[in-house]
Amino acid sequence: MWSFLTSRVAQLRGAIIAYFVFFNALAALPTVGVPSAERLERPFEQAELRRWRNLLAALGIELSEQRLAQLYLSLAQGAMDAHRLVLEPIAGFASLTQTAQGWRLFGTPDEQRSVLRVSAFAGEREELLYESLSPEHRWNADRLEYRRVRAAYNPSRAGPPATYEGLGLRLSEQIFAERPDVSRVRILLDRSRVPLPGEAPDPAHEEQHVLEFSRPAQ
Amino acid sequence: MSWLARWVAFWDEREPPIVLAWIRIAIALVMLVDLAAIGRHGVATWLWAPLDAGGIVGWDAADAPLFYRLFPPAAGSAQLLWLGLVLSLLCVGAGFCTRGAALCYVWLSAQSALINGPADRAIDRAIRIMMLILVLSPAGKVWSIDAKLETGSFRGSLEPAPAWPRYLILGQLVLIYFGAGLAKGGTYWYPWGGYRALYLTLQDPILAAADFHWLAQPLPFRLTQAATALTHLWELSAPLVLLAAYYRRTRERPGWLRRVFVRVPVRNLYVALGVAFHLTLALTLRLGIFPFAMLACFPAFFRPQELERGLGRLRGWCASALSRPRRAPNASGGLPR
Repeated sequence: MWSFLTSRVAQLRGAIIAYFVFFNALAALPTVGVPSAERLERPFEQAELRRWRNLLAALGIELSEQRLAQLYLSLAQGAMDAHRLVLEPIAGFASLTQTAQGWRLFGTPDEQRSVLRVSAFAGEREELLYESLSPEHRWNADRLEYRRVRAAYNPSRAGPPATYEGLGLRLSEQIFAERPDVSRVRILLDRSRVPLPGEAPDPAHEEQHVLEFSRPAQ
Repeated sequence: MSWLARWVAFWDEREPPIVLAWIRIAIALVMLVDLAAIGRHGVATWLWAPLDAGGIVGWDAADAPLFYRLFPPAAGSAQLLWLGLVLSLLCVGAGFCTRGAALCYVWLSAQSALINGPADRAIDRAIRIMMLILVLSPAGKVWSIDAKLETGSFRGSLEPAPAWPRYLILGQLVLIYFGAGLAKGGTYWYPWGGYRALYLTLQDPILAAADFHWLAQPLPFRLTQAATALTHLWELSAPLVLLAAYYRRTRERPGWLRRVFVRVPVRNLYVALGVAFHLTLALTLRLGIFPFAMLACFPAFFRPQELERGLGRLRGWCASALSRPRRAPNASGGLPR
């Protein structure tokens, strides 16, 4: 009786493991990005399309960039739909435990880089308090560079996450509390282009996602 | 034996749960260091309180995560969440009510992810998966308070216990690295993009641990290209570890590929490269606990006997290094004979 039960338990365990291994392995297979014609218009995606087109041309497959973009969009949409459908049996479990597979670790690095700048204004005088990677402007650096806080402002190509404004608000509150002379706080992401080896540094840069906070009235 | 019977027999294998205990303790330690950083920087409220209560993230009342349906939307609740995570990890590390504590950690960690999605990184997801496996494992049977209560010794009983949780953790590691390798869709990871991925990543001021603009010099740049290719290849070759394990188990069967895999220490090479890869990441990028949390799972690559043997060797080296007589000048001023 006991050996019958243990063999049944082993079979049941084998079945449950097979179920989870199968669906998790499928879930870990990457899709080919979010299908969006709008995203394909961005400079990085345009450059990527060009590089893929050149590769295909070198292999003897001639496709226009427009045709390649259409193919990519239909492929990405199909892959995403298939992914969603196939993973339906474990979707609830993955959502409850927040254990979705999908490991995009630096999947598509590009030449754009951003620097977080936090400035305080006493009257018209600007004081740069924090700047990413700067050895001099290190106000609150330990906090701002802690991985979970950094994630609140580290931008993707689509911009900073939704937590960026909330973080800006908290930083400004902290500055106003620490520095009674400060009347205004400015937080922004300064975007520039990484020079590739052999290229001269590009001085062009753009201040993006600028947040301005004035000291609240007493 | 049929494929089905072999599958069932494989997942029914047993071994002393030493490796699982190592992983349990190592993961708990790494995650506790991360939570200590939250405490030190005083950012629990920022991260996990609602916007109105001092946090950085807001949500509609109708979409409130379960945690904030059970607890009031206040800064104190965010502190409570942090405390719950710390206590559950302390219990997991010390092996006290191990399964319950691991399950509690998974729930709280999942709630923290639902509260603030951007702050929940891939490594947090990976650790939740590992913890869920540990919930179902005998990881608390050795080197734990549970073991002390059960057997009278912290070391516990080294009797064989189910080995499948270690196999699953190993499988999950392979899945993470292989998945990450496949997901590298940017052309800069490939020869036709000039293998520039690591060079560009190291130029990101928000992520880089130092100013790496000197990598644009010809020789350092070539090295980053080689490292890009090697990193991608290393990730994509993760399934070879499973193939090597299969060939080791079936070494008596014929086949030249099997012979090669039995002769070449594929797994050890993979692990050595992985350790080098993660330590390099830790030195060059501000990724927080990511490299260390991944390394905490690396014992899963080894069987308990191998791990014990390795630790025995390490103990031997340490003992001989400590007991080696010092070469001090003797009374006559010369070196001792």
